[in-house]
Amino acid sequence: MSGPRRDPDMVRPYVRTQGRIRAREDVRLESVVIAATGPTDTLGPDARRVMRLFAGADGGLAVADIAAALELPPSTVRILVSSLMDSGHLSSPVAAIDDQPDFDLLQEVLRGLRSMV
Amino acid sequence: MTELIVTATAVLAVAAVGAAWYFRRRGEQARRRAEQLREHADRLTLQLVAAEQCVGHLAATVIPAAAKGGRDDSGPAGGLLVPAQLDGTPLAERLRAVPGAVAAAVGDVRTQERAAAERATAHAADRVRQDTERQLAQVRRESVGVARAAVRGFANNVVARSARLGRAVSQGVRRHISDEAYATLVEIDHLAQQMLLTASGYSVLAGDKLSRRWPATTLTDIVRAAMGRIEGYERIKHPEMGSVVVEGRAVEAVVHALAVLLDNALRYSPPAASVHVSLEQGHHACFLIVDDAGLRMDDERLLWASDVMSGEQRDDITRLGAHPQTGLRVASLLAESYGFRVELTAPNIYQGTRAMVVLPKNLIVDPGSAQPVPQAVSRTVPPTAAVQETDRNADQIVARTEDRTDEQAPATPSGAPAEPVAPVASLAPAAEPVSEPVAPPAAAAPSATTASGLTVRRRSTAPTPARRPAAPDDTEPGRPAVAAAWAAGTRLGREGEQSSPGPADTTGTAARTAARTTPHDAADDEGL
Repeated sequence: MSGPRRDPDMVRPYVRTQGRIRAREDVRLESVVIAATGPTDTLGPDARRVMRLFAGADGGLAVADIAAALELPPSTVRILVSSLMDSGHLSSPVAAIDDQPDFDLLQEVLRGLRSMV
Repeated sequence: MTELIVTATAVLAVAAVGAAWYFRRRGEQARRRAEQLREHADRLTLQLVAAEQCVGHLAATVIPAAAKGGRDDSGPAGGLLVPAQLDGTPLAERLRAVPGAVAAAVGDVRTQERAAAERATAHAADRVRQDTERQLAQVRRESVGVARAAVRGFANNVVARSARLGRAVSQGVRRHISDEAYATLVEIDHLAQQMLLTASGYSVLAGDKLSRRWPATTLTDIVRAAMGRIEGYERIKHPEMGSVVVEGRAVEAVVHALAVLLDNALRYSPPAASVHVSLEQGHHACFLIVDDAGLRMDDERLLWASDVMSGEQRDDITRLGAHPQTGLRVASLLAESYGFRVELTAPNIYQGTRAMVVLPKNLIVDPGSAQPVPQAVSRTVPPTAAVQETDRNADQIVARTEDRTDEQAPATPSGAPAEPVAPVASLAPAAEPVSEPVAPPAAAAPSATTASGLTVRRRSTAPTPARRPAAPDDTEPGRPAVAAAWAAGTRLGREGEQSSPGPADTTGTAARTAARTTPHDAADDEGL
């Protein structure tokens, strides 16, 4: 028998995202998002699970990390995060220009990483 | 002498005359008598002839006519004209009586015959009817058997394939990151899930059990699983129902029955109206209530529905009719074989129809009793992460137990998942929503991980720039290669010397497991 024996998704992804199938362009797997404070009562079960991950985190979480923690497909989490950003529960940290690492430095790091692999 | 002679002669003469008179008289007497006799003989001859004719007539015409039943067309003599010659004779009387007697005898015989024939006919008909009924029943049994086998074969095939399709899609949405691929996969998945619902319905009607097994599951997820199998699920509104956990063996049945009821509710309500799911916890049972704001089911249809749901023939797939309405039949069959109840009432508060799934307590797992077990597992976890880590460990245990269940499932296809389900049932409630007790705020120190063990990406401190290539604007968004590199990187970093898998095909799993820190990861991956 090919493939896994049990479907990991008893609840299908489109139900989790409440029918939304497109993520926002600016929400990528590598995007980091931060939580806003506010009530989460009106949110769906999965959105609430996402918000719960931020409990105790004084900073942002990467979308890929959220997906891994919730064991959900990355695309589903991108959409969930998109909806949460639309509703104002999450936001992406706007970095000041001088706060970002130097482009040359990033290039250097990338080269270093490649040489490691 | 002469005198003597004369005297003698006279005497003689007188004697002669006397004799002559006497003889003459006698002769006349005899002649008269002879005439009388002749006349009598003639009359008798005539009578005889007449009687012969009469009897001939009787034999040739009257009796056959009487035998034929033509009694009514003639008088009491039965059409027999008794000749005048016979008038006054007893023969005439007797002859006149003959047709009546014959007719009566014929009538009697006929009545008896008819009665006997009727008896025989009734008997024969009875036997024929019994035979026919027996044969009919047999043919019916056979045809039901044949139809069942056909439907079962077909439905099981479709169920197996669409379940596999569903699993393939689940893998696909983890593997492919592109928006287009996701949209397409999700659309395919929605169709496959609806196919699965229809096909499993038919396989239940054909007498099979549901083949898919799940661990104990919260009502929230049961409702959402049911929503995934129908069209128009976006209109369904439901609250969080994580406090009620349904035992594993009943999960698929409840999901299926609920999907059918939700589908009905959506179908019979206006396209813009919501369908509301709510939960009522009684003392002996939990009531999962589906309210629609649609047309109220009229009494006739309610009656029909309750007939369908209680009918003896509800599982007879040869009596579904030209427009098979299988949903309610399936729901009621499932309810019966898995020990819950389905009820329909109308009108509800929205003037629509209310459908109810009544889950008795023995199908409900107590979420409270499930807590201690996963906590015992969290032995190596740092204290700050204890609560959430517990939940994750529970997840992993559940995942592994599920596999065990699955391996055993083929061995006992229809029954007794009791043994493997038990541990699952006690653990699973910890799966997702039971993580309600959110991590204590005390753990919110500026640590590098969240309470759940995730790496916090902090802008200001940014101790390792290499670990944070966040949002490099010159890269294409969501490009698989980027995600793959990301995932492979995190994985490499976490797992140290373990060999790196090929990036292309493991993107999904790698990303998924990227944040894992416990050694359970590998086992869990195999479980997928």
